[in-house]
Amino acid sequence: MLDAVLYLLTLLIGVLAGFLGALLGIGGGMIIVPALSIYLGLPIHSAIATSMVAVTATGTTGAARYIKQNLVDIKLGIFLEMVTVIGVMIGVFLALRVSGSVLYILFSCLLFCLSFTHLVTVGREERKLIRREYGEATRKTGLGLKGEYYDENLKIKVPYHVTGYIKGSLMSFLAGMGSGLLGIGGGVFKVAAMNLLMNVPLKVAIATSKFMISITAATGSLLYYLSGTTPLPFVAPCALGTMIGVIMGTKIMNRVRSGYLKILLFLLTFYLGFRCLERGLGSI
Amino acid sequence: MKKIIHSALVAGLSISAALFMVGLILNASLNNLGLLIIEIGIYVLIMTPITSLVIISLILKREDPKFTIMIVLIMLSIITSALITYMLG
Repeated sequence: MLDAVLYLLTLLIGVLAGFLGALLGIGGGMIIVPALSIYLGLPIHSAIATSMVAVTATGTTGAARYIKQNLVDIKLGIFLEMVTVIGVMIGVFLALRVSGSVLYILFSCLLFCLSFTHLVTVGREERKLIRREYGEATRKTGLGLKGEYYDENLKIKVPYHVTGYIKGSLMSFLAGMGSGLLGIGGGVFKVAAMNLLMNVPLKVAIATSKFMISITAATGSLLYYLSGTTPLPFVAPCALGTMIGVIMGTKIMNRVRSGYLKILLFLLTFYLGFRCLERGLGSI
Repeated sequence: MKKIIHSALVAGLSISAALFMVGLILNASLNNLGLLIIEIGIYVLIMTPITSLVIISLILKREDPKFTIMIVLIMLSIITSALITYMLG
């Protein structure tokens, strides 16, 4: 009986994480890990291992759903994923030489900058969508990627041209560092890199981030699984829950106003920045 | 391309979801068999996005070879970091 209640709670945690993950382009580990470890009493390593498998499930389900909705820019995702995985490797090397508190404080500053940029660009996002400014012809830069999607909220087709490859790559590199070293989700950085620096509409950025997360998390899951810390009975309900949550989230994401998504991203990034600052100051 | 990748992802997800459900049900009565099925489900889930990446690289090989090189780099980085982590324990 107790097991059944625990599994049901794990399933519900998964649904919540999957739903928010689909709306904001994040993995959902920041919800699953504390919920499983603090509220259900799972050891932290087991909670992280469970979360990795659940994030793989969210990423993969989200990618499948958004690919069907024609929201994922696969080529852009591959380009940024390449930079991200290189970032993870170089980041691990650098982290061995820089103190953890310094990294936490640096990342918190970056997250605060991103959160306020999301806040001040709430109006700009919708204006750019309505005036189709994302698709304004620019000279061919970098890989010359472009695309279009149908915005179900505004009922218009939104074309876009990807720019700012160097700035976006740098941010993705930082995303790799952050997710690999500090245990913070890379999703917020990836969405910010694409939307704020690479001229990619927010909804395409969120969908492409989910596609990228599926690849990153699959690797993490495999590593945790090989290390033997994955608690099998908890993984199944959590992964199933995230799949249900993602299906619900992906159904409404494209119908929601981009401005509301920006406000949610502001709150999430601000919270993450605060948590990083707290940890950084706590470990000095 | 998108239709093929979507189908591959959906197939992998459906199999792993079915395995998770069967594993959970069996776990209540036949403990070891249930856990074994959940384990297979995890493997299927992990392999799903990796397989889709391989499919993308095969499709893009003719269309845009530079993206295939990028995918090879991603795979190499993943394998390297997995090996390093495994060796460091």
